[in-house]
Amino acid sequence: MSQIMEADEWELLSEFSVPSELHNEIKAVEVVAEVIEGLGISKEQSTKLKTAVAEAVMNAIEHGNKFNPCLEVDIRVQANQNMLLISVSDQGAGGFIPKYEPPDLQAKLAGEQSPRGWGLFLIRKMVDRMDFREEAGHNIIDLYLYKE
Amino acid sequence: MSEINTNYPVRYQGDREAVLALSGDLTYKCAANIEADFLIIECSGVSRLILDFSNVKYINSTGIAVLIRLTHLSRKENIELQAIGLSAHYKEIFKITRLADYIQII
Repeated sequence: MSQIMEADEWELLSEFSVPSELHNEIKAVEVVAEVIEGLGISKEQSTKLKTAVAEAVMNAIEHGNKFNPCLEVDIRVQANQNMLLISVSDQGAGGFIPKYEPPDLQAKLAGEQSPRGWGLFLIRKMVDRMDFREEAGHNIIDLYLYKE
Repeated sequence: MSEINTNYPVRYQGDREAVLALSGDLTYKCAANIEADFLIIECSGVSRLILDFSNVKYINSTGIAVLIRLTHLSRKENIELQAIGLSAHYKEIFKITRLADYIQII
């Protein structure tokens, strides 16, 4: 992480918020897609990033802000010469740093586990790096994508 | 073949195959409609259900869960699942989630 941060200065491209209501993840994705246009991101990378951002915003809406429409999810888009960084922050009380465990498809198909629980798995597969941190009581997920 | 209306359009191909044309966003909100459609299709005695994703614009993690539930139901009824019309991105998601092991991508 420190190597990434020190390698180059991050430029803030956009900072915006959406209320914690489901489907607002689509609005967030649309804004991010607009912001990163023309930054040398391939269509394939952009499609993957959209899925990752949607899942991160959904997690913040559901688990961080617990669907409270009065609470917002903050999205920050930054870039440096080599990478994009999308940070998604909830306004929950903090303490929700999810433990990543790969989903067990067999158990889900057998009805032994909820069929849900794919969000973090998808995010991890769609971006080059995923970090969690807690700052001032907010849970933040950082999504890093190398420009091709 | 079926007299009962389904939520998504269904087309029967012979006696053994049905094509369910999904559309819009595939999220948890579709769960009840898709399961209801599956029950109607299953009663018709088909052995293969083809899911047509040509008009599906967005699938999120809750949509993956819907497909897992559908896979669970179809395996219980010995109905083979196939997927057509998936974009390259969603084909990849089917592969990394291993849904492609249970829903054959055509």
